[in-house]
Amino acid sequence: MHIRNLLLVFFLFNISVNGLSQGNVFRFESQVGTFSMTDLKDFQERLMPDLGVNVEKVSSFPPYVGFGLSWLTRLNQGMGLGLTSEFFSTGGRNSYEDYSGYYKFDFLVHCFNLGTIITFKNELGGGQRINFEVLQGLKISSLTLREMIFISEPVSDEKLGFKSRSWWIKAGLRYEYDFLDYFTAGVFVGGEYNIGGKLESKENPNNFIFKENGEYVRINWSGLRAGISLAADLSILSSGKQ
Amino acid sequence: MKGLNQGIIASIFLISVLSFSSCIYEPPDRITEIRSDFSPPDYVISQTIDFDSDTLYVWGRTMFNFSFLSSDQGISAVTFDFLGKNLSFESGSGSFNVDPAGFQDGSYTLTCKVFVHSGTGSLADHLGAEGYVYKKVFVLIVEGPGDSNFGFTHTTIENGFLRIHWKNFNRSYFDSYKITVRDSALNHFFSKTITDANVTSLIDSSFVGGSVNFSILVTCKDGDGNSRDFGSDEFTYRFPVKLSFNEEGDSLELNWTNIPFNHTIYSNQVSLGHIRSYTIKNPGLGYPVRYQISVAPVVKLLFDHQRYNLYGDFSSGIKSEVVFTRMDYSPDLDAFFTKDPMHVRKHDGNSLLLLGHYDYSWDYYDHTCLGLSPDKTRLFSTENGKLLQLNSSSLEFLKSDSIAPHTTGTKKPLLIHLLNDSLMLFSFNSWLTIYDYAIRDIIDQEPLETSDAAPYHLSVSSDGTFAANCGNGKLKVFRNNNNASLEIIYETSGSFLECIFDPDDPHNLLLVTETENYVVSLPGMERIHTVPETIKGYPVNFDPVTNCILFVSNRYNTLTVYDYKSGHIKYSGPHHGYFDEFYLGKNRIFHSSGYNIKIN
Repeated sequence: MHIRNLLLVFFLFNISVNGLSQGNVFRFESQVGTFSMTDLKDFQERLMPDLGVNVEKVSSFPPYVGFGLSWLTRLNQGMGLGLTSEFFSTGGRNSYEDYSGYYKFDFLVHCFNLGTIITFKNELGGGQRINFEVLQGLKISSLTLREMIFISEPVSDEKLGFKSRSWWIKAGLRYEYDFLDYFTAGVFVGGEYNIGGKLESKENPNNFIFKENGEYVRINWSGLRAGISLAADLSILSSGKQ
Repeated sequence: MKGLNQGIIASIFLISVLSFSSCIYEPPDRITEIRSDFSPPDYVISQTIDFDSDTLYVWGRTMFNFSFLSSDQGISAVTFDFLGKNLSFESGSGSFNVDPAGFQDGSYTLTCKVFVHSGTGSLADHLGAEGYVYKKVFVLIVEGPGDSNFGFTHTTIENGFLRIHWKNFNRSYFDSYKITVRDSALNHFFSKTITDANVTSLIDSSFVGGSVNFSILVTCKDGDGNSRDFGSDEFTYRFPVKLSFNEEGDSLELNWTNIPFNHTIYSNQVSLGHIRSYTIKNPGLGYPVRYQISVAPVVKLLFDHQRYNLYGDFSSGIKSEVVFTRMDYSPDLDAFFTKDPMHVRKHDGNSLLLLGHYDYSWDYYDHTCLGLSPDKTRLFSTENGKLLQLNSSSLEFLKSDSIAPHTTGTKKPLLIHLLNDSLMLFSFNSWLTIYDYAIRDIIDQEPLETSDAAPYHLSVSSDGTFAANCGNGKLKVFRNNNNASLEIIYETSGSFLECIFDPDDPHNLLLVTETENYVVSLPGMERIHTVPETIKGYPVNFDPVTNCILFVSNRYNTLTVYDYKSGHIKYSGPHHGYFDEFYLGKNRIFHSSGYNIKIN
């Protein structure tokens, strides 16, 4: 239901801004993000097993690369509006492995961000500019818990899935440089704030993960973002302009 | 052309961005390096279940405890697989139950596996997937108690000792035999527990005869080590020893059953050794005398009195039903009539069988009066101061009258002698009367010297003409004048003790003094016979058949039957009674106990 509403907003937004646009830009970008994940780190600690061997936390939600696709239309007076989508993933692992087999407990998380962009352009000349951008929208997160024991052969492999929805907002500066007439390369630096979302079981709705104090375990993607981008001006490409 | 170059550059940029990383985060791995070579422990031992044993036995719900110990590496798990169950334990010690309920007796298997850590510390080691397995397959025998056909078998006597035998109970779960011996003859009890199943007999070294009860209880040990009663049996061995008597004149020999057991005979606490008989003085006729010998075991018991006591009752003569206080024999009816405070009875003169009886509760004034009517059809007696008439054939009750009702006082009858169909010489209290029992009135009366006259103190001649009375050393002789009056024809004082008329001759009266016994003839009182001094004792009565006199000596304990007319002693023998307990009739000497001796 939420997705259909979102597509409807996207469609109406597209029609309205097309009327005012002086150009449409399609942008692909890759960003490295850091992620708060405070509750999940505690949760990972709680699930450290006592197997008699030294099970270690080999990974605990480290910064990782995410990807984004945006569509942006440039309005007058250096302002731009657009729609964006992002994908980020990270995770944690409690693990022990030796010659005889392994034990792994993975906490794999990813999220899809769907939202809008508003940019304010400041031309520097020579095909260079600085943009101030603000992005916000709906975040759909997923957590997969997977415990595996393998000793000569799989001993156990169990999975549990959880989902979450929340709101996010991101702001930052983007330096862009035009090249080859229709392409623009960019570098982005900014940060994201995210209201942590409750994690609900996919298999058993209304079942959540709780902390020891009874509060919900929330997934929180807040953190810094930095990355590079490549944009193409679709209006120039489609008109064949040199 | 330029646009193509721009597209190529853009593609290269895009590929470089995509190659910057993969799309979805994959957590890294970290491998711990540890040594993978390991060797088995030097030993794995069981501290409870016997691993050297190949067979386990159960016959009920049985608990097995196990405790395994490894030399180096720890034990990660122990499993047992039996009777469709698989039990797993995460440590080397514990317990489990084998319940054979629902399984038939037979042979099954119990597989035990002991898992030992490899000791490398690896994940597989810790999770029990790496190490050594020690496996042992036991034969599991399910064997219920069933019908063991268990119990005592027989007894034997070996070297003078009794040995009891039982069947071998050779089961693997055998625990013990518990034998309990109860010798009721010796009042001796003991028990013994035997833990060797092959020991199947026990000697009772104290048994010397009588009855001994053996009980055996078999106990078995279940898997928990607890003893359970399996079954029991009981056997009573009897070897009664009987005391018998052999009478030889003045001596009496006591014999008893040959005793095959080692023993010592005691009599009156005196050890007689291992004898078969011994002889004592014959006690003669009288109430039965109880004799006792004691058989003691050769082994020492707790108390000296723990002996098998044998008892036997003996009296000379033959036991009969003729018990009495007063007794008369009627030659005309060939019957003995007896009386005591509770009955009047009639016995056959030959067989002594009871022919009739008349019973009453208790005669407080009983003085054993008996008298037959002249036609012998009625028997007169008394009961509680009343004159009783019975049918002399059946002793059926005919009549009972108060005695002389016009006179006052209690009537204590002493003697009845019928004269005709209405009169009798009747003595009561201290009077001798001619009494008309038809009108219940006294015709005439004379005082007696004593009010407590026994038959040998007050006697009437067989034709009723004379009566004699002794008392206080005096002698009185009365004459019945035609049944109309009584007359004292002789009276003297001296040391007279008894006076008894000869039933065969109404004129002959036997007199007894402190110094001699003699017979006088009435009415002149001439002495016609003197009883020899060799005849000891006091006379009791004349035999109505043979006319012999029975003399009873309490001093010499002798019975003498004397025919004064021939001067012959017809019988002499011992006794142990009192002289008024005897009666001589139809050639038999009776004792009031019922024993009697027939004189040849």
